[in-house]
Formats: sequence, C-alpha cells, structure tokens
Amino acid sequence: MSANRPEDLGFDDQRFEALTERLSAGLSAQADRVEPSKNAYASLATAVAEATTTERPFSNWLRPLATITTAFVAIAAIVAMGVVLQRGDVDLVEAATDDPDAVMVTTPVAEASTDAGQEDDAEVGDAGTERRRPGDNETENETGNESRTESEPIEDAVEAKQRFADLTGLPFASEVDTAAGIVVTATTGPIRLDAEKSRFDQNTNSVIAAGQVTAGGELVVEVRSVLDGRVLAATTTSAAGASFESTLPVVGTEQVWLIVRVPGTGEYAAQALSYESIGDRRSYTVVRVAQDDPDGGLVVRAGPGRENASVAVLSPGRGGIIRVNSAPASVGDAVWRQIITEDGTQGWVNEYFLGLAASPNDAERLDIGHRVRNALFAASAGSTESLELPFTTRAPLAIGLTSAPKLDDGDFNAVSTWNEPRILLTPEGSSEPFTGSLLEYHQVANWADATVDPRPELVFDVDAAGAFFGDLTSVAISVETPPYQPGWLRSHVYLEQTPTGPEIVGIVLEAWRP
Amino acid sequence: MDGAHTNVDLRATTSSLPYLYDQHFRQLVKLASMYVDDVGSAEEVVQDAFVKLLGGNYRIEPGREGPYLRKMVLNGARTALRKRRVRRDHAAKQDGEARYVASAEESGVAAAERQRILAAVRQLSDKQASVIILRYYLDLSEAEIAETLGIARGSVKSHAHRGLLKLEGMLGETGGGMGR
Repeated sequence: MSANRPEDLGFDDQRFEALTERLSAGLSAQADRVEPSKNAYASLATAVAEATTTERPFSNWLRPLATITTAFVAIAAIVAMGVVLQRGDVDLVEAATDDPDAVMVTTPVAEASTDAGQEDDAEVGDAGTERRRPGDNETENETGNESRTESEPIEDAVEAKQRFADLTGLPFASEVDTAAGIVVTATTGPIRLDAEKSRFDQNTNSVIAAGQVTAGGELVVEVRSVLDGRVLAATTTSAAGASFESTLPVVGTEQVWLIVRVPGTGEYAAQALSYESIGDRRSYTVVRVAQDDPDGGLVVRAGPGRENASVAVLSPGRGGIIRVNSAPASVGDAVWRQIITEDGTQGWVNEYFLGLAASPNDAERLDIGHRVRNALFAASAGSTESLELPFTTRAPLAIGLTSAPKLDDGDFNAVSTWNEPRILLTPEGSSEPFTGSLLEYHQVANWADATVDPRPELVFDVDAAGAFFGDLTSVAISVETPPYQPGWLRSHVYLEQTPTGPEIVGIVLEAWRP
Repeated sequence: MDGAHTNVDLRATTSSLPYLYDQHFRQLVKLASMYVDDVGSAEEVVQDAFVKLLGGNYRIEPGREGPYLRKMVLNGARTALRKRRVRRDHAAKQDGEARYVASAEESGVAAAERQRILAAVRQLSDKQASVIILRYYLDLSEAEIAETLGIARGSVKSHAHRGLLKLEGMLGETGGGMGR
C-alpha cells in the first residue's frame, strides 16, 4: 500500500496488494515522464483572457436550450443509426472512421451499447458543458441504496444545496443547476411551482409565482437573493387545494430563489430565477407638481398617455421612483416613462415631472423626497397608536444601523455611552409598529465604508418602558438602507427625552449615490 | 458586525489564474496523460478546464477549484480517450492489434511495464479506469473519488473491484515489473 493511500476501500490492500503496488508504480512512472510545456502558462493565460473578454453567447437561460438542442441532435443521431444498423447496409466502424465527424457522433453510441451489456457504466457528463436538468433520470443504482444523477457535478450540487439551506433555513430537496450554482427546483410537501408560469415578467417588472397546492392554508411567497438570502420581495396568499398565483414587484438585477412555503411547516417549493427589471438605477423625484395639484400629484397610468387609466398618484416631492428598463414612449409632445416605486407601484408617467433634485449641500446628493424632518408625529415610546411613519419603504424593509451612531450635536446632545443602538422602523402596512421586527437590516462600521451586509444580527424592538433611552436627553441615530445600488438611502431618526419617555421627533430619509 | 460587504469576488486572489496554475496545472496535466497519448493533448484538456472555470459562469467557492478542475479534466480526458479508442479500434482492425510504440529513450523493461499498465488501464471502462487512476495515482479516498466522479461510494468500491479483477486478468500472470 502507498503510504498516502487511505485504506477505506477495504479490499485493495489484501488480495490486490501486489497489483495495486504495481499500478501505483506504473501510473507514477507515466506521470513522471510528463511535464507541461514551457509556454503552457502563456497559452493558458491567453485562452482564459479570450474567454473572459469574449461575450458569452449563452446566457444562463439559454444554456438549457442548447443542452436540449444537443440532446435532440443526439437522439436523432441514435435513431438514424438504429435505422442504419437495422438495415445492415453500413459498416458502422468503417463509416465512422472514414468521416472524422462521424466518429464524434458514433463513439458514445457504440460505447454505450457495449458497456450497457456488461455493467452499469453510465456516462459521467462533462462537468463543464453538460447540465443535468430536472427529468434526466440517469442514475447510479449499482449499490442499490444510492441514486444520483451521474452527470451532475456533485460538489457544486452539494455546495448549492448547502448554500440554499444556509441562506433560506429551508431543507434542500431535489435538483440543482450547477451552471448557475443555484437551485432549479426544490420541493417538499404539498406545493408545486409551475416552472412555466413562475417567472419574471418584463412587462410588469414582477416575479410571478404560480403553481398548485394540495393543502389549504396561508402561503408565503418570497423572492430571495441567491447571493445572500436577502428577502427582496414577499407577499402572502392563500390557496386550498387549488392553484395559486402571486405577483411580486421587483427592482434591480438579481439572481433569486422564488420560494413559496407554508409558514411554520418547512414545506416549500423553490425555483431559481434571474431578472433585470430596471435599467436606470437612479432614484427620481416628482417635480414640477404643485402641492395643491387638482389630481393630488403625479398620476401614474397603466400605459403611456393620458388616455390610459390612472393606477396611482404620486404626491409632489415623492421620491424613490425608478425608471424601468423599457423604451420611453412619445405621446404628442410628451415622453412617457415606465416607472416603479419602492413600494411596488408601477405604471407610466410623463417624464417631464421626474427629476433628480440636487441637494443644497452636495450636488451629487439626491433628495428622493422622503423628507419629514421635524415630523408632526411625536410618538411616545410608551404608546403604539400614534406612530405613523410618513414614508413608505419597500417591503420588507432593508435597514442598517451604525455600530457607532452618528450623533447630531448641533440640535441635540451627543451621547457617548451609546453601545447598542436600537431603533424602530416598521415596514409599511404593519399593524404593530412597535413590535414588528425589521426583516432585513445590517450594521455598518462607519458611513464612509457603509456597505450592505444583510446578515441579520439584531432584532429590533422598542423598549416600551423607555428604559433603554432613559439616560438620554435626545439623540439622532443614523440608519441607512440600501434599496437601490449603487446609491443608498440614509435615514436620520431624531429622538427627544420627554417626561413620558423618549419621543421620535423627526425622521429624515435621504438618498444619494456615490 | 463589521459591516463589510462580503460579496466575494470568487475569482480573486486564490482563485486567480497564476495561483491556480501553480497549484494544479502540472498535476492535472499528469492526470490527463493517463488517458491521452501525448502531453500536448493533456495540456489541451487541462487548458479547457481552466477556461471553463475562469472564463465561464461558474461560481466556485474559493479553495474548491482544485476538485472542480480535476473533475473537468477527468471528463475532458475521458472524452478524448473515447474518441481515440474508436480510431485505435479501427487501426487495430487494420493492423491486427492496437499497440503503443515506445520511444527510443524509453525502451527497456521499465518503459515496457509502464506502457503495459497504462494500456491495460485504458482498456477498462471509463469509470473503472477513472477509479483506478484516482485511487492508485492520486491516492484519493473512496469519498473523494465518489465526489469527483459523482457516483456513490459503493460504486467506487465496485468499480475498483471490477477494475482490479480485469487488470489482474490482463497483467497478473506475466506481470512483475516495476514496484514489486
């Protein structure tokens, strides 16, 4: 036995000891006489550079098409060859040898037919080019107790499964697409996603979740980032023994898992999706619309032009508007843009009323309109009914905290004993603003380096007794949210100590891009 | 939390070409040479694997490139072997027997033994050959072989056992060269 060889195979160090020693020596001798050529690195570097600079013709969603096409060609070749062999009028080997291309086609067939009669030697596919798709059932059954797709690059599958489980907290099941490193389909329990209908809809900039469920109850539909598991969009729906369909507005360019699950049961169905729902990542603000506009603000319409139905009204100064990645439409003298807001409102608006308002302090600073400094609400930390945040956020709210809160010592007293910043911001629509937790947030070390780290570490809740804030007179906490890269959104929340406890006296949300 | 955004560039640092080349290229070429006849073809197979890894859409966890490359090299080399097998079979049909021709400097008992073993291994099925090579050249464990080939651990045992039986039949009686 080689000193380095594990003994886990069991039999090879006994009966075959002499043979295996001989094999090791022979194979090592073969290896010893092989040395890469001197220009191997240069050649390799050139090839890699060409590959990385050449625009790849197949996007992820085209690869399966290529695979299917290849499969059809292979099947056609097999069928054709079967006909030829049945007719017996062609010598397969000679024909293959005469035609170099024919060798390429006939080799696997000839081998497969030979091997199949002798042993279960199913082919391992090329990890780099062949993709295991759901429904490919080539399996390894030699041991009788393990079954696995043979052409699946298994270590990637393991990685993808682990990643899915780690980031979603859901047990993995079913197939993975190792080309993208993401889950293709995964299902447990009574939910089935319809792979055709569940997709990103470019027209509505929404992810559509559609499928069937055999058991009743509430379903949670989530769009989660493959990169970090962030929930990018979520909704609930109910379906009992029937089909379901939910639409989730999304923004940005993401690789995601679409997950439909039954809360609290671990039952779910998941499917991988990619989408690019916007082209212009800057946030726009409603401008040139008077506060007393008869329409109440900028009318969002179902299509370009005033003849289309109104779907929403954006108040003057309203920000967080993203222009969707679609061509503008000219109607008369006006140019209409398809937009989506951070709360999911979608439609078309007259581009004239969209603007990038400059900050008084920073030309690059974009006031997206969520400016509610010295807001009228003054919620006591001890009450729950008076807190109404006059801004909306994309649900679920993504938010961050500074580990060393930025204190505004101009209007407020600085506090140096702040060791665990806590602040409450409640996602829009929550009925329990004080107890509702932020679903996503991150903590940043400092503003200059503020970036996104979506790993949840803190659970937000408000100390209703105000004890946490009891030593403070007032403080400004800076939090920031990164709804649309590369810019980010920062909020300043102002608290004041009052006889009844700390009160939020103002919130300012600002967004800017680097 | 530091807050550093860990959107890792998977091709940075230890996933860079120079690093991967230094770590893996030479051994992978040697591995590929078990299947193909010449170093150039082996290099070509390995180069294809690198290009797929670094030029494609693969997202490999840093530090896991080695096994992934090994897998792709095996697949590429086996594909090359299969293509060559048909040509070789045809040549054998024409010449009476497929054989390897030793170069002048390799002549002698050692070269003959090496070629004999290599020829015998190459006559095994793909799986058997791969298991034998991974086991007795790279000294991989049963689990590592299973992971590399994407087969069950039990299949590793069976392929190894069947392969050794076949090799014993091919090499056993007149064997006894190197390493004994």
